[in-house]
Amino acid sequence: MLIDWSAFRLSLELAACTAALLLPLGLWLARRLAFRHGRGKVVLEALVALPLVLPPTVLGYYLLVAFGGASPLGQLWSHVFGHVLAFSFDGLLVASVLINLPFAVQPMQRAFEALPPDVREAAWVSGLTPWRTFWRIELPLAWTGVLSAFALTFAHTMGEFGVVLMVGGGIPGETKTAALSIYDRAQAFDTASAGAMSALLLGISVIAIAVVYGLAGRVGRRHD
Amino acid sequence: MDWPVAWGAVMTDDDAPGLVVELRQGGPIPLDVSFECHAGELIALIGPSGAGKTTILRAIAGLYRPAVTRVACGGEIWADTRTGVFRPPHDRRVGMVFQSYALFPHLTALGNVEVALSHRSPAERRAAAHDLLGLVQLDALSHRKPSELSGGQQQRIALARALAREPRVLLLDEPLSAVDRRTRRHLREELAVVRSAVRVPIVLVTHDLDEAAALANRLIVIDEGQVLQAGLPGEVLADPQSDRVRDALDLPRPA
Repeated sequence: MLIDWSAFRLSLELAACTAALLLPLGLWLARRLAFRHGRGKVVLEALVALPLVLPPTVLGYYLLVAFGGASPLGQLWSHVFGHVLAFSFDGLLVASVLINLPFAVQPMQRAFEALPPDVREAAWVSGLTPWRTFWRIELPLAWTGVLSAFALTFAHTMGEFGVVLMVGGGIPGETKTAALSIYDRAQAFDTASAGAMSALLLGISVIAIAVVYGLAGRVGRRHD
Repeated sequence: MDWPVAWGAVMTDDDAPGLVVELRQGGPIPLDVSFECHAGELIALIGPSGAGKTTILRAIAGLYRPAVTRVACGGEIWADTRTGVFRPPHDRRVGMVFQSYALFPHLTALGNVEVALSHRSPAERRAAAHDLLGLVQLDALSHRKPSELSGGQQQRIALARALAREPRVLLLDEPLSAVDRRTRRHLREELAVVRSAVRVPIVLVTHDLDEAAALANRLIVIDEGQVLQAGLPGEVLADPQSDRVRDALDLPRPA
Protein backbone atom coordinates (compact mmCIF):
# COMPACT_ATOMS: atom_id res chain seq x y z
CA MET A 1 0.00 0.00 0.00
CA LEU A 2 1.35 3.36 -1.03
CA ILE A 3 -0.09 5.36 1.85
CA ASP A 4 -0.22 4.16 5.45
CA TRP A 5 -3.79 5.25 6.10
CA SER A 6 -3.84 4.03 9.68
CA ALA A 7 -0.87 6.32 10.40
CA PHE A 8 -2.63 9.22 8.69
CA ARG A 9 -5.84 8.56 10.60
CA LEU A 10 -3.83 8.55 13.82
CA SER A 11 -2.13 11.83 12.88
CA LEU A 12 -5.48 13.42 12.04
CA GLU A 13 -6.94 12.26 15.35
CA LEU A 14 -3.93 13.55 17.23
CA ALA A 15 -4.04 16.89 15.40
CA ALA A 16 -7.78 17.30 15.97
CA CYS A 17 -7.57 16.39 19.67
CA THR A 18 -4.53 18.64 20.20
CA ALA A 19 -6.22 21.59 18.52
CA ALA A 20 -9.45 20.96 20.44
CA LEU A 21 -7.63 20.87 23.79
CA LEU A 22 -5.41 23.83 22.97
CA LEU A 23 -8.28 26.03 21.91
CA PRO A 24 -9.69 26.68 25.40
CA LEU A 25 -6.30 26.38 27.13
CA GLY A 26 -4.61 28.62 24.57
CA LEU A 27 -7.46 31.16 24.69
CA TRP A 28 -7.16 31.40 28.43
CA LEU A 29 -3.37 31.81 28.32
CA ALA A 30 -3.47 34.22 25.36
CA ARG A 31 -5.98 36.54 27.05
CA ARG A 32 -4.05 36.43 30.29
CA LEU A 33 -0.84 37.36 28.53
CA ALA A 34 -2.51 40.03 26.39
CA PHE A 35 -4.50 41.81 29.11
CA ARG A 36 -2.57 41.37 32.36
CA HIS A 37 0.75 42.96 32.95
CA GLY A 38 1.91 41.46 36.23
CA ARG A 39 5.40 40.35 37.15
CA GLY A 40 4.72 36.76 36.14
CA LYS A 41 3.90 37.73 32.57
CA VAL A 42 7.44 37.58 31.19
CA VAL A 43 8.11 34.23 32.83
CA LEU A 44 4.86 32.76 31.52
CA GLU A 45 5.52 34.17 28.05
CA ALA A 46 9.00 32.62 28.04
CA LEU A 47 7.67 29.24 29.17
CA VAL A 48 5.06 29.27 26.41
CA ALA A 49 7.75 30.12 23.83
CA LEU A 50 10.22 27.50 25.10
CA PRO A 51 9.04 24.67 22.80
CA LEU A 52 10.00 26.87 19.83
CA VAL A 53 13.70 26.60 20.68
CA LEU A 54 13.82 23.38 22.67
CA PRO A 55 14.79 20.35 20.55
CA PRO A 56 11.66 18.14 20.37
CA THR A 57 13.72 15.11 21.36
CA VAL A 58 14.76 16.90 24.58
CA LEU A 59 11.18 17.72 25.49
CA GLY A 60 10.28 14.16 24.48
CA TYR A 61 12.94 12.74 26.75
CA TYR A 62 11.76 14.68 29.80
CA LEU A 63 8.17 13.75 29.09
CA LEU A 64 9.14 10.11 28.74
CA VAL A 65 10.79 10.26 32.16
CA ALA A 66 7.77 12.08 33.61
CA PHE A 67 5.31 9.61 32.04
CA GLY A 68 7.26 6.49 33.00
CA GLY A 69 6.13 3.96 35.59
CA ALA A 70 8.81 5.22 37.98
CA SER A 71 7.41 8.78 38.18
CA PRO A 72 4.51 9.92 40.40
CA LEU A 73 2.61 11.18 37.33
CA GLY A 74 3.11 7.88 35.51
CA GLN A 75 1.99 5.91 38.56
CA LEU A 76 -1.05 8.13 39.12
CA TRP A 77 -2.03 7.82 35.46
CA SER A 78 -1.78 4.03 35.33
CA HIS A 79 -3.66 3.87 38.65
CA VAL A 80 -6.54 5.98 37.34
CA PHE A 81 -6.69 4.89 33.68
CA GLY A 82 -5.23 1.41 33.89
CA HIS A 83 -2.44 1.88 31.35
CA VAL A 84 0.86 3.74 31.25
CA LEU A 85 1.07 7.18 29.72
CA ALA A 86 4.29 6.50 27.86
CA PHE A 87 3.94 4.78 24.46
CA SER A 88 0.18 5.48 24.38
CA PHE A 89 -2.04 7.83 22.41
CA ASP A 90 -2.86 9.78 25.59
CA GLY A 91 0.84 10.32 26.20
CA LEU A 92 1.26 11.56 22.63
CA LEU A 93 -1.63 13.94 23.14
CA VAL A 94 -0.14 15.44 26.32
CA ALA A 95 3.23 15.86 24.60
CA SER A 96 1.59 17.33 21.53
CA VAL A 97 -0.37 19.88 23.56
CA LEU A 98 2.80 21.04 25.31
CA ILE A 99 4.94 21.32 22.20
CA ASN A 100 2.19 23.19 20.36
CA LEU A 101 1.61 25.81 23.09
CA PRO A 102 3.46 28.59 21.25
CA PHE A 103 1.69 27.85 17.94
CA ALA A 104 -1.68 28.18 19.64
CA VAL A 105 -1.00 30.95 22.13
CA GLN A 106 1.05 33.43 20.14
CA PRO A 107 -1.37 34.15 17.25
CA MET A 108 -4.25 34.50 19.70
CA GLN A 109 -2.23 36.70 22.04
CA ARG A 110 -1.31 39.00 19.13
CA ALA A 111 -4.97 39.16 18.13
CA PHE A 112 -6.14 40.12 21.62
CA GLU A 113 -3.33 42.65 21.99
CA ALA A 114 -4.47 44.27 18.75
CA LEU A 115 -7.94 45.04 20.15
CA PRO A 116 -8.51 48.78 20.47
CA PRO A 117 -7.53 49.57 24.07
CA ASP A 118 -10.77 51.11 25.39
CA VAL A 119 -13.16 48.77 23.67
CA ARG A 120 -13.36 46.16 26.42
CA GLU A 121 -13.87 48.84 29.02
CA ALA A 122 -16.57 50.42 26.88
CA ALA A 123 -18.31 47.06 26.75
CA TRP A 124 -18.24 46.66 30.55
CA VAL A 125 -19.52 50.20 31.06
CA SER A 126 -22.26 49.44 28.53
CA GLY A 127 -23.47 46.72 30.89
CA LEU A 128 -21.86 43.60 29.44
CA THR A 129 -20.39 41.17 31.95
CA PRO A 130 -16.78 40.09 31.26
CA TRP A 131 -18.14 36.78 29.91
CA ARG A 132 -20.52 38.47 27.48
CA THR A 133 -17.81 40.97 26.56
CA PHE A 134 -15.67 38.00 25.55
CA TRP A 135 -18.35 36.51 23.29
CA ARG A 136 -19.80 39.67 21.79
CA ILE A 137 -16.79 41.96 21.53
CA GLU A 138 -13.44 40.20 22.01
CA LEU A 139 -13.99 37.01 20.03
CA PRO A 140 -15.60 38.63 16.97
CA LEU A 141 -12.65 41.04 16.81
CA ALA A 142 -9.97 38.39 17.44
CA TRP A 143 -11.42 35.39 15.59
CA THR A 144 -8.83 35.48 12.79
CA GLY A 145 -6.11 34.96 15.41
CA VAL A 146 -8.06 32.07 16.91
CA LEU A 147 -8.48 30.40 13.53
CA SER A 148 -4.80 30.94 12.71
CA ALA A 149 -3.87 29.31 16.00
CA PHE A 150 -6.12 26.36 15.18
CA ALA A 151 -4.68 25.91 11.67
CA LEU A 152 -1.06 26.22 12.82
CA THR A 153 -1.56 23.78 15.68
CA PHE A 154 -3.29 21.29 13.43
CA ALA A 155 -0.65 21.39 10.69
CA HIS A 156 2.25 21.37 13.11
CA THR A 157 0.87 18.32 14.93
CA MET A 158 0.37 16.48 11.64
CA GLY A 159 4.09 16.76 10.93
CA GLU A 160 5.57 16.50 14.43
CA PHE A 161 8.36 13.94 14.54
CA GLY A 162 10.87 14.07 17.38
CA VAL A 163 8.61 14.29 20.38
CA VAL A 164 6.22 11.76 18.89
CA LEU A 165 9.00 9.25 18.37
CA MET A 166 10.41 9.72 21.86
CA VAL A 167 7.12 9.56 23.75
CA GLY A 168 5.18 7.21 21.49
CA GLY A 169 7.82 4.87 20.14
CA GLY A 170 6.05 4.41 16.79
CA ILE A 171 3.76 1.51 17.68
CA PRO A 172 1.61 0.81 14.58
CA GLY A 173 -2.04 1.75 15.12
CA GLU A 174 -1.34 3.26 18.54
CA THR A 175 1.44 5.83 18.23
CA LYS A 176 2.84 5.50 14.72
CA THR A 177 1.89 8.78 13.07
CA ALA A 178 2.22 9.80 9.42
CA ALA A 179 5.59 11.49 9.96
CA LEU A 180 7.00 8.32 11.58
CA SER A 181 5.60 6.21 8.80
CA ILE A 182 7.33 8.39 6.20
CA TYR A 183 10.60 7.97 8.07
CA ASP A 184 10.10 4.19 8.19
CA ARG A 185 9.38 3.95 4.47
CA ALA A 186 12.36 6.16 3.59
CA GLN A 187 14.62 4.00 5.78
CA ALA A 188 13.38 0.95 3.87
CA PHE A 189 14.15 2.66 0.51
CA ASP A 190 10.41 2.60 -0.29
CA THR A 191 10.60 5.98 -2.01
CA ALA A 192 7.20 5.57 -3.71
CA SER A 193 5.39 5.33 -0.37
CA ALA A 194 7.54 7.95 1.34
CA GLY A 195 7.00 10.29 -1.60
CA ALA A 196 3.24 9.82 -1.70
CA MET A 197 2.82 10.37 2.02
CA SER A 198 5.16 13.36 1.99
CA ALA A 199 3.12 14.91 -0.80
CA LEU A 200 -0.04 14.42 1.24
CA LEU A 201 1.47 16.10 4.30
CA LEU A 202 2.79 18.88 2.09
CA GLY A 203 -0.74 19.44 0.79
CA ILE A 204 -2.17 19.66 4.31
CA SER A 205 0.55 22.12 5.34
CA VAL A 206 -0.07 24.28 2.27
CA ILE A 207 -3.77 24.44 3.07
CA ALA A 208 -3.05 25.42 6.68
CA ILE A 209 -0.63 28.15 5.63
CA ALA A 210 -3.10 29.40 3.03
CA VAL A 211 -5.73 29.70 5.75
CA VAL A 212 -3.37 31.60 8.06
CA TYR A 213 -2.08 34.02 5.43
CA GLY A 214 -5.46 34.40 3.78
CA LEU A 215 -6.81 35.56 7.13
CA ALA A 216 -3.86 37.86 7.70
CA GLY A 217 -4.64 39.49 4.35
CA ARG A 218 -8.28 39.92 5.28
CA VAL A 219 -7.41 41.55 8.57
CA GLY A 220 -4.94 43.84 6.82
CA ARG A 221 -7.61 45.04 4.44
CA ARG A 222 -10.23 45.44 7.14
CA HIS A 223 -8.09 47.83 9.15
CA ASP A 224 -7.26 50.04 6.14
CA MET B 1 -35.71 67.43 19.71
CA ASP B 2 -38.10 64.97 21.29
CA TRP B 3 -36.95 62.81 24.11
CA PRO B 4 -38.16 59.18 23.97
CA VAL B 5 -40.89 58.50 26.51
CA ALA B 6 -39.00 55.57 27.99
CA TRP B 7 -36.47 57.96 29.46
CA GLY B 8 -38.84 58.92 32.23
CA ALA B 9 -37.16 56.28 34.36
CA VAL B 10 -33.86 58.10 34.15
CA MET B 11 -35.11 61.44 35.36
CA THR B 12 -34.68 62.11 39.03
CA ASP B 13 -35.75 64.92 41.31
CA ASP B 14 -33.31 67.67 42.06
CA ASP B 15 -33.24 66.76 45.73
CA ALA B 16 -32.54 63.09 44.99
CA PRO B 17 -29.05 61.99 46.02
CA GLY B 18 -26.66 62.60 43.17
CA LEU B 19 -23.09 61.48 42.78
CA VAL B 20 -20.72 61.41 45.74
CA VAL B 21 -17.06 60.84 45.01
CA GLU B 22 -14.09 60.52 47.31
CA LEU B 23 -10.77 59.21 45.95
CA ARG B 24 -7.44 59.19 47.72
CA GLN B 25 -4.12 57.48 47.17
CA GLY B 26 -0.42 58.33 47.19
CA GLY B 27 0.58 56.53 44.03
CA PRO B 28 1.13 55.36 41.34
CA ILE B 29 -1.33 58.04 40.24
CA PRO B 30 -1.68 60.47 43.16
CA LEU B 31 -5.28 61.35 43.96
CA ASP B 32 -6.84 63.53 46.62
CA VAL B 33 -10.30 64.44 45.43
CA SER B 34 -13.79 64.63 46.84
CA PHE B 35 -16.86 66.24 45.35
CA GLU B 36 -20.59 65.86 44.89
CA CYS B 37 -22.61 66.36 41.77
CA HIS B 38 -26.39 66.75 41.91
CA ALA B 39 -28.90 65.38 39.45
CA GLY B 40 -29.08 67.72 36.48
CA GLU B 41 -25.84 69.42 37.42
CA LEU B 42 -22.84 69.46 35.11
CA ILE B 43 -19.43 69.59 36.71
CA ALA B 44 -16.36 70.21 34.62
CA LEU B 45 -13.08 68.75 35.82
CA ILE B 46 -10.48 71.00 34.28
CA GLY B 47 -6.71 70.90 34.36
CA PRO B 48 -3.66 70.14 32.26
CA SER B 49 -3.22 66.73 30.65
CA GLY B 50 -1.83 64.22 33.10
CA ALA B 51 -3.63 65.93 36.01
CA GLY B 52 -5.61 62.76 36.80
CA LYS B 53 -8.96 63.88 35.36
CA THR B 54 -9.56 60.77 33.28
CA THR B 55 -8.48 58.60 36.21
CA ILE B 56 -11.26 60.17 38.29
CA LEU B 57 -13.85 59.31 35.62
CA ARG B 58 -12.49 55.77 35.39
CA ALA B 59 -12.74 55.35 39.15
CA ILE B 60 -16.38 56.51 39.08
CA ALA B 61 -17.10 53.94 36.36
CA GLY B 62 -15.29 51.18 38.28
CA LEU B 63 -12.52 50.81 35.69
CA TYR B 64 -9.86 51.94 38.16
CA ARG B 65 -9.64 51.27 41.88
CA PRO B 66 -7.76 53.87 43.95
CA ALA B 67 -6.54 52.76 47.39
CA VAL B 68 -9.26 54.77 49.15
CA THR B 69 -12.45 54.94 47.16
CA ARG B 70 -15.97 55.99 47.95
CA VAL B 71 -18.40 56.32 45.07
CA ALA B 72 -22.13 56.53 45.64
CA CYS B 73 -24.76 57.41 43.10
CA GLY B 74 -28.53 57.74 43.20
CA GLY B 75 -28.57 56.42 46.78
CA GLU B 76 -26.58 53.28 45.90
CA ILE B 77 -23.06 52.64 47.07
CA TRP B 78 -20.95 51.59 44.09
CA ALA B 79 -17.61 51.37 45.83
CA ASP B 80 -16.42 51.83 49.38
CA THR B 81 -12.97 50.56 50.30
CA ARG B 82 -13.75 50.92 54.01
CA THR B 83 -16.57 48.38 53.88
CA GLY B 84 -15.14 46.40 50.96
CA VAL B 85 -18.04 47.16 48.62
CA PHE B 86 -17.13 47.11 44.95
CA ARG B 87 -19.64 46.89 42.14
CA PRO B 88 -18.01 46.12 38.78
CA PRO B 89 -18.53 48.52 35.85
CA HIS B 90 -21.27 46.43 34.23
CA ASP B 91 -23.28 46.68 37.45
CA ARG B 92 -23.12 50.48 37.84
CA ARG B 93 -25.43 52.11 35.29
CA VAL B 94 -22.80 54.51 34.04
CA GLY B 95 -22.99 56.27 30.70
CA MET B 96 -19.47 57.02 29.58
CA VAL B 97 -18.18 58.70 26.46
CA PHE B 98 -14.52 57.80 26.03
CA GLN B 99 -12.05 60.27 24.61
CA SER B 100 -11.27 57.85 21.79
CA TYR B 101 -15.03 57.03 21.58
CA ALA B 102 -14.13 53.31 21.92
CA LEU B 103 -16.90 52.25 19.55
CA PHE B 104 -17.16 48.54 18.72
CA PRO B 105 -15.53 48.44 15.26
CA HIS B 106 -17.25 45.24 14.11
CA LEU B 107 -20.78 46.47 14.87
CA THR B 108 -22.93 48.97 13.02
CA ALA B 109 -23.99 52.24 14.61
CA LEU B 110 -27.24 50.55 15.56
CA GLY B 111 -25.39 47.52 16.96
CA ASN B 112 -23.17 49.74 19.06
CA VAL B 113 -26.20 51.31 20.71
CA GLU B 114 -28.06 48.00 21.08
CA VAL B 115 -25.18 46.50 23.07
CA ALA B 116 -25.83 49.04 25.82
CA LEU B 117 -29.52 48.13 26.01
CA SER B 118 -29.06 44.71 27.58
CA HIS B 119 -31.18 45.79 30.54
CA ARG B 120 -34.17 46.05 28.19
CA SER B 121 -36.07 43.09 26.73
CA PRO B 122 -34.73 41.90 23.35
CA ALA B 123 -37.94 42.96 21.65
CA GLU B 124 -37.57 46.57 22.80
CA ARG B 125 -33.90 46.99 21.97
CA ARG B 126 -34.10 47.64 18.24
CA ALA B 127 -36.73 50.36 18.56
CA ALA B 128 -34.98 51.99 21.51
CA ALA B 129 -31.68 52.03 19.60
CA HIS B 130 -33.38 53.70 16.63
CA ASP B 131 -34.91 56.29 18.97
CA LEU B 132 -31.50 57.11 20.39
CA LEU B 133 -29.88 57.37 16.98
CA GLY B 134 -32.71 59.71 16.04
CA LEU B 135 -31.94 61.78 19.10
CA VAL B 136 -28.37 62.34 17.92
CA GLN B 137 -29.66 62.74 14.33
CA LEU B 138 -27.91 59.68 12.94
CA ASP B 139 -30.77 57.27 12.32
CA ALA B 140 -30.20 57.55 8.56
CA LEU B 141 -26.69 56.11 9.03
CA SER B 142 -27.67 53.36 11.46
CA HIS B 143 -26.23 50.59 9.27
CA ARG B 144 -22.77 52.09 8.89
CA LYS B 145 -19.75 50.78 10.72
CA PRO B 146 -17.78 53.27 12.84
CA SER B 147 -14.98 53.32 10.24
CA GLU B 148 -17.49 54.64 7.71
CA LEU B 149 -18.47 57.59 9.90
CA SER B 150 -16.81 60.97 10.48
CA GLY B 151 -15.26 61.88 13.83
CA GLY B 152 -18.26 63.98 14.80
CA GLN B 153 -20.65 61.19 13.86
CA GLN B 154 -18.66 58.60 15.81
CA GLN B 155 -18.75 60.89 18.79
CA ARG B 156 -22.55 61.14 18.57
CA ILE B 157 -22.83 57.34 18.35
CA ALA B 158 -20.71 57.18 21.51
CA LEU B 159 -23.10 59.63 23.18
CA ALA B 160 -26.13 57.61 22.05
CA ARG B 161 -24.54 54.43 23.40
CA ALA B 162 -23.83 56.12 26.74
CA LEU B 163 -27.46 57.27 26.98
CA ALA B 164 -28.75 53.83 25.97
CA ARG B 165 -27.54 52.51 29.30
CA GLU B 166 -30.18 54.75 30.97
CA PRO B 167 -27.35 55.88 33.20
CA ARG B 168 -27.51 57.20 36.74
CA VAL B 169 -24.48 59.32 35.93
CA LEU B 170 -23.04 60.55 32.66
CA LEU B 171 -19.26 60.73 32.28
CA LEU B 172 -17.79 62.63 29.35
CA ASP B 173 -14.05 62.44 28.69
CA GLU B 174 -12.91 65.34 26.49
CA PRO B 175 -15.96 64.84 24.29
CA LEU B 176 -15.23 67.78 22.03
CA SER B 177 -11.46 67.57 21.73
CA ALA B 178 -11.18 65.58 18.52
CA VAL B 179 -13.71 67.35 16.31
CA ASP B 180 -13.54 70.54 14.27
CA ARG B 181 -14.97 73.90 15.40
CA ARG B 182 -18.23 73.63 13.53
CA THR B 183 -18.95 70.10 14.79
CA ARG B 184 -17.93 71.24 18.23
CA ARG B 185 -20.55 74.00 18.29
CA HIS B 186 -23.13 71.52 17.05
CA LEU B 187 -22.23 68.93 19.67
CA ARG B 188 -22.28 71.54 22.38
CA GLU B 189 -25.88 72.38 21.49
CA GLU B 190 -26.71 68.68 21.47
CA LEU B 191 -25.13 68.23 24.87
CA ALA B 192 -27.22 71.09 26.22
CA VAL B 193 -30.37 69.34 24.99
CA VAL B 194 -29.30 66.00 26.46
CA ARG B 195 -28.54 67.68 29.72
CA SER B 196 -31.92 69.26 30.11
CA ALA B 197 -33.58 65.98 29.20
CA VAL B 198 -31.62 63.49 31.32
CA ARG B 199 -31.62 64.80 34.83
CA VAL B 200 -28.61 62.87 36.10
CA PRO B 201 -25.28 64.14 37.38
CA ILE B 202 -22.89 64.84 34.51
CA VAL B 203 -19.12 64.97 34.94
CA LEU B 204 -17.19 66.44 32.04
CA VAL B 205 -13.43 66.20 31.74
CA THR B 206 -11.76 68.87 29.67
CA HIS B 207 -8.65 70.97 29.37
CA ASP B 208 -10.53 73.60 27.37
CA LEU B 209 -11.58 76.55 29.50
CA ASP B 210 -14.10 77.89 26.97
CA GLU B 211 -15.80 74.51 26.79
CA ALA B 212 -15.93 74.22 30.56
CA ALA B 213 -17.23 77.75 31.04
CA ALA B 214 -19.89 77.30 28.35
CA LEU B 215 -21.29 74.00 29.63
CA ALA B 216 -20.62 73.65 33.33
CA ASN B 217 -22.57 74.68 36.43
CA ARG B 218 -19.44 74.24 38.45
CA LEU B 219 -15.72 74.02 37.76
CA ILE B 220 -13.29 71.87 39.66
CA VAL B 221 -9.70 72.76 38.88
CA ILE B 222 -7.43 69.73 39.16
CA ASP B 223 -3.71 69.26 39.01
CA GLU B 224 -1.61 66.31 40.12
CA GLY B 225 -4.75 64.58 41.34
CA GLN B 226 -5.64 67.40 43.72
CA VAL B 227 -8.54 69.81 43.78
CA LEU B 228 -6.96 73.26 43.55
CA GLN B 229 -10.17 75.26 43.45
CA ALA B 230 -13.87 74.64 42.95
CA GLY B 231 -16.73 76.98 42.30
CA LEU B 232 -19.00 78.64 39.74
CA PRO B 233 -17.23 79.15 36.42
CA GLY B 234 -17.48 82.95 36.68
CA GLU B 235 -16.05 82.96 40.18
CA VAL B 236 -13.13 80.72 39.38
CA LEU B 237 -12.25 82.69 36.25
CA ALA B 238 -12.58 86.05 37.96
CA ASP B 239 -10.69 85.04 41.06
CA PRO B 240 -8.19 82.21 40.62
CA GLN B 241 -6.86 81.56 44.10
CA SER B 242 -3.27 80.71 43.29
CA ASP B 243 -0.68 80.70 40.58
CA ARG B 244 -1.13 76.94 40.32
CA VAL B 245 -4.79 77.48 39.43
CA ARG B 246 -3.79 80.12 36.88
CA ASP B 247 -1.25 77.71 35.40
CA ALA B 248 -3.73 74.83 35.33
CA LEU B 249 -6.25 77.04 33.53
CA ASP B 250 -3.55 78.55 31.36
CA LEU B 251 -4.45 82.05 32.59
CA PRO B 252 -1.76 84.76 32.77
CA ARG B 253 -0.14 85.26 36.16
CA PRO B 254 -0.53 88.75 37.64
CA ALA B 255 2.42 91.02 36.88
